[in-house]
Amino acid sequence: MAVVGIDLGTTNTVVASVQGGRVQVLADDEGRRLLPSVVSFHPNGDVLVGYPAKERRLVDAKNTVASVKRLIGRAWATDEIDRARKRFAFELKEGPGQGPLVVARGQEYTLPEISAFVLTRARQIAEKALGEPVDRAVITVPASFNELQRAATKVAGRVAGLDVLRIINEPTAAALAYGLGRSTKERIAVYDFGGGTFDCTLLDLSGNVFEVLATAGDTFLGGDDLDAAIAERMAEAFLRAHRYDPRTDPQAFERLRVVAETVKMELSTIERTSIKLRELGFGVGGTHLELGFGMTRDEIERLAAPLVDRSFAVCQEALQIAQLPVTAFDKVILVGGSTRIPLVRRRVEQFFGTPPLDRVNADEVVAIGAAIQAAALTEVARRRSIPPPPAPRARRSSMPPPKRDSDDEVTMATRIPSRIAEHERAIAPGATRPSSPAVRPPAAAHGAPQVPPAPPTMPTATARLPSATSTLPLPGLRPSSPPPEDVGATIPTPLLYQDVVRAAAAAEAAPQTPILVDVTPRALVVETVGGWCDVVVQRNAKIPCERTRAFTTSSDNQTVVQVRVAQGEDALFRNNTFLGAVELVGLRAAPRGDVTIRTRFEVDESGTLKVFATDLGTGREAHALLQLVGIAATDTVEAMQARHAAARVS
Amino acid sequence: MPPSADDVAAEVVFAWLEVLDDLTYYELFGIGGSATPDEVRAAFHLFCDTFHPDRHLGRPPEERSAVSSIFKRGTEGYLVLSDMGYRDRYDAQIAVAAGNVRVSGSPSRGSDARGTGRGMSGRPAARLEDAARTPSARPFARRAEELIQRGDLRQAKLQLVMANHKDPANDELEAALRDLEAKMASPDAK
Repeated sequence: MAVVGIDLGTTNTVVASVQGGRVQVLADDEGRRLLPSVVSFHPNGDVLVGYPAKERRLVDAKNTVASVKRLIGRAWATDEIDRARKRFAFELKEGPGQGPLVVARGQEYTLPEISAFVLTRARQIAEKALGEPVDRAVITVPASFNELQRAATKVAGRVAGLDVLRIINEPTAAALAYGLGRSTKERIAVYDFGGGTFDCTLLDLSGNVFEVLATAGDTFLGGDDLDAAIAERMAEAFLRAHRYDPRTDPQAFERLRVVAETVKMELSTIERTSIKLRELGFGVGGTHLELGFGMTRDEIERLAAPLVDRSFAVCQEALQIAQLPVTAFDKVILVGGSTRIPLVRRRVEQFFGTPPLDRVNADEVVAIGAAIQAAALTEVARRRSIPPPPAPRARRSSMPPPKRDSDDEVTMATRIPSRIAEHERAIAPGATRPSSPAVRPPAAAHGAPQVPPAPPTMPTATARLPSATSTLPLPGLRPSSPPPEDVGATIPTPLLYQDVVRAAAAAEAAPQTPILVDVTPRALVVETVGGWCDVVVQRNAKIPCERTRAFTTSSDNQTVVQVRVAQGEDALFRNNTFLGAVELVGLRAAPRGDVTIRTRFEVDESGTLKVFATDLGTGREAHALLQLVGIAATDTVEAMQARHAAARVS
Repeated sequence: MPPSADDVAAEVVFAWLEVLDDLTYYELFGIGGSATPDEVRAAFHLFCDTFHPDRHLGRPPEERSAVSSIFKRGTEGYLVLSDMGYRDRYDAQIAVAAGNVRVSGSPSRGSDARGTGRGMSGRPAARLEDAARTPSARPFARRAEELIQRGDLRQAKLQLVMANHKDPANDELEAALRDLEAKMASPDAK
């Protein structure tokens, strides 16, 4: 059984694997290493993926699905879906739980199912190339993907019958592929301009640890947008020549987009190109109308300039988060097909003041990084030795030490009281209007003793939030002074565990894959009364991490509380991506403020969010788990798996 | 029978977990209080190399969850120590917790105020400003004091509310606010 890394791209998918200590990109029978992320439903019932499907795009656009990555994990009522419905020839409709469905040949498919066809094809290619079954994979996503998009991608992997070991960020994977085996300390920027998304990620590499300093992105900026702009140009030229607008015919416009992509790619190497499209429409008396279209590199660069400008606005944002000047970065790595555009390379060099590295293959570097991570996660018996802990200078908590059991609640428990003290908030009328704003912002003007002074504002958008209260994670100690008898009860030891670690690391002879310390792309927020946000996990927090907040009920005899969670930086809750809600029922009926609800946000190493709500008021520990909107439940996934397994994919 | 190597490895993990709540972030990273940002970063990287959950995939679930708890404390600590604003506040908290530093509004004076009754009239001028423990609360406290002397109680109350907001859990400021409210409610204030 083999493990692979899959770069599931908007336009192309690449699969790679580590075999015998060497990483290789896997090719299909015809030696092609790129698999177009296009799925076509053939009249004979077959599901075509890759180049055959791309060809079908020209003749059967209605049943051919491309760029599904732009839509996965998005709710029906969003701008992105609206735009896609106007732009794509395939049919979309609203499914249960706001999830969009693709309709093709009378069948309805969820978006993860469409992606699963691409993954299944990638898996087939890998199995053929490796000569053994593939059951596990690391799949990459754009760094700016939100929780829903990540969860949907994971579902796609499971539908394709893969055990998804981890979802990792594309720029981080690229950095891993670039930095593996280099022991130098350096700061690098990854400029990832793909078919549908743009990400800028800044990293600090130090041999064994790759720390993501900041990441920013635009999930609706990519090479596709340039194709669309060129296709618009062509359509206008055609309209002028024949008084017929090919945009009224989705099939014709689809052809223009496919040709536009070719024009774009040609203009990256040559200065001028021209194309001729036959039978694009029919004129008076059924005569064939054709389009002759020429373009120069200057023209395409004028079209591309606004898109490229947007990418640097994103880079600027990332630098601001990292609080570093652009000169702090030693190297720039280019990832994604759109970085082949000469204008992009020139502008990157101007912006970062250093020529981008081109010794890495922009198309394959992400899959290579994913394969390295997949291999690292499946090494047998990975267990770093840990030196003994230092002796604390003073015993600060008067609480009993945490119990040694697997209940992860326990460790938090010793610290919670202080956290509640500093973060007490009010949760709102869930009982009467469960869908109403759930949490009341603290009454700041009262200067309630629980509210800490406003923290120094972080350079992130949290500064814009209306509530001036703390987002500071509390230090691991209680605010009160320790009991005097505890001070100095333990003898401080000068032992620095670093020395021990160094010795241990030297003893573990085999060099290890660097640890990736990634970040959350967007802030995780809770809705407060009035439709505002309270940031629980700030943007670009290092993961894995954990944050706890306590809230109280805001109306008398409230027995239901709903904690609504979203992702984004906007101060208004509704402008962020709604993720889901945690509902706690059966609270003790009591005057408002008497019942305390603890919410714990946990982001694990793959960026997956878990939200727990616990009723502390009754002493009873009721748990509720966040249900992500539009993400299929396990039994639905199993049904999808069954249907998927029955399909003939080639 | 001597304990196996695995048992020892598990012991160390749980030993960390046990002292985790007592360790300052500095102790957690094995650095001194004066560590520079670069030293903090280097120490954090070493910490990641040791404690990141991905380095411990071969451990049983219980130990993995313990390692994960330790690591999460590390990401929290790094956030605080690498932001100067957070770090200053944290340093102040440690100092208070360790009993090394007295809060500037000294406890003896605080108990005096409580002991001698809460009437504000009996207090010497500028007392309120001294009671404020944070720089941002001080101007509000001073302004409140001036307004009280001038008899503009309503404006004074606003200033005091702000002072309390900027310096929460300050007994003296809260007492002053309560006194003022009582004064405003009493008939002779009108």
